[in-house]
Amino acid sequence: MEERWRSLDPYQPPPEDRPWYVARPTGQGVRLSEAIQAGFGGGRIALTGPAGVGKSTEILNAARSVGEGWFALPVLIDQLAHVPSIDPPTLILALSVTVARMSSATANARKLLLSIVGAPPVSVGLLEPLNASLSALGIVPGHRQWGAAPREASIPEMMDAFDQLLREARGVRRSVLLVDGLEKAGAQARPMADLLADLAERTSSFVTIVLGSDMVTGPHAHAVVSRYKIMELSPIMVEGDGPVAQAGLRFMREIFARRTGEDAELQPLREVVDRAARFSGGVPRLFLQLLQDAMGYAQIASRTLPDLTDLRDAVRDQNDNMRLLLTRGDLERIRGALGTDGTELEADHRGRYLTQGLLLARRVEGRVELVAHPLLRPLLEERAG
Amino acid sequence: MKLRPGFDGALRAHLVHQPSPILIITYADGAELEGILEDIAIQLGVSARFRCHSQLETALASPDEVAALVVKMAEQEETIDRLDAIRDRLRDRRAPLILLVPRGGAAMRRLRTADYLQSWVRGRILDREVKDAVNLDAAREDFVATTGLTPERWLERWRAGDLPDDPENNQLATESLFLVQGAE
Repeated sequence: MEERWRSLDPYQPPPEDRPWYVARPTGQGVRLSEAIQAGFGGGRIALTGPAGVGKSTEILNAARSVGEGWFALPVLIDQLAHVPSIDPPTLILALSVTVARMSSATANARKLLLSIVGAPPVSVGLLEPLNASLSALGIVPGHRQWGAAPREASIPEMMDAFDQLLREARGVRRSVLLVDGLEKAGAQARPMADLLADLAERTSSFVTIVLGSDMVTGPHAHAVVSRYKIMELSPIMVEGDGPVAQAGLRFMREIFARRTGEDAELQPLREVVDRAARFSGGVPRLFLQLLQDAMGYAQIASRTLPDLTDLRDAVRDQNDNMRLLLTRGDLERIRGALGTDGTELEADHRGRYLTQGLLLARRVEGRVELVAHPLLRPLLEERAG
Repeated sequence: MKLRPGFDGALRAHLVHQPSPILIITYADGAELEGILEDIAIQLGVSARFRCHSQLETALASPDEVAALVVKMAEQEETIDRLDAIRDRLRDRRAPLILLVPRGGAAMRRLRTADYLQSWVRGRILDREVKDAVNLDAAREDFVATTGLTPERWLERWRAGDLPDDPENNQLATESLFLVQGAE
């Protein structure tokens, strides 16, 4: 039992060898694989939404299910490079290494990759995982320029080599670049998004990137919005008793059931699972975290399944930590933004509150309205009183 | 009905029963830090592999081993920034990385804006002062919500023999005594 609950693993998107992916309920956000197949946004999509809402899950599922006529290239950029200081050569190298690994690095692919590694100088110190990937392909990084500063002039050469590499790997199929992790790149996110749009054009590929909420709103969003169609992945609606919330709860129960093998429809477990879903505000990772923590507390009390008191303990841990992590003025600003679309908030604050999931964006009668996360509500009432 | 688990209970839940890739524990001074390291060793038991580190890179190097990282004062913010950027590499850990940082210090302040790391550690930041603070009002509310009686009234009925002598009521008797004595 304990082991089964360990497979809740809130930190892993559904693994390839298990049927863990659950499609989002109809009408609750576009499913990425379908959006790509439909050519949504002319093939350039920027996926955004709060942490834990399922962006990485959608990216991985799109890579697996986009169809036979496609060569999908999923790149977890933050697992290959240090993203806050990522630069164009490192990004192109990361994409190239991923292509080479997926196409089993034929002799020609290896030659092309060597031309990429050898030609431009790539900043050193950011690349231990990339180095390991190159070594796994039998390629020793070029020692001549390794460590020197990047030269802009070398970028077109790298893009050409990547284009050749990708063409060889995909054959007659269409290609889609699925780049996850760019939201952690800070100031580098926008230039990298630009570079990826250029690369997509150069290689006649579709591209989907993951960006933080702060990148697609506010005064500097134009650069991204002009090149990408923004696709917001919202938390699942689980509040209320209407059919939309019921579909949301079924979705959350199904995620839980697929991961643990438990029957989420059986009482009294169902009540715990449904309450965890409501406390999570419809954010799947938080939902799994709450259930995992509740199970930890149940085990302390020698119970085989958590009850509502265990869930209460898990919720209180979240509340305690929220108190620790709020900065001065957060509660007042959040209170002032409730029920509005948040445009009155400073862009930095709005981006942080949405990314951290303190504020949730809901679409009500065609307009966006901000609501407080359910776990934050007691704190808002406490401080207001 | 049960009283809320304190620091040791929470540590056991997050470290042993349902371990996460990363936990954060705060401390005030060297004595408290030493006590926390002892608690970790006790909860893990003798068979678990557990090592203390002062460098992030060495702490990350052994994903199968519980690694307690006592973050140096000069590296508090940098460590949070780095973990925020490489968060997803922690997915491969099969034993937790435990970050030990000063209560209310620079690491905790930086964590407030570390959006991506925060979404993993929220609910897993253990602070002995918070966890072991006895909130009698909250405990009393929980008791009333669970039993429908105040602790004093429940104890009266228990002493009068009106309630069954079963394990659950024995537990409630302990808790009602605790709450009644705490209120005096």
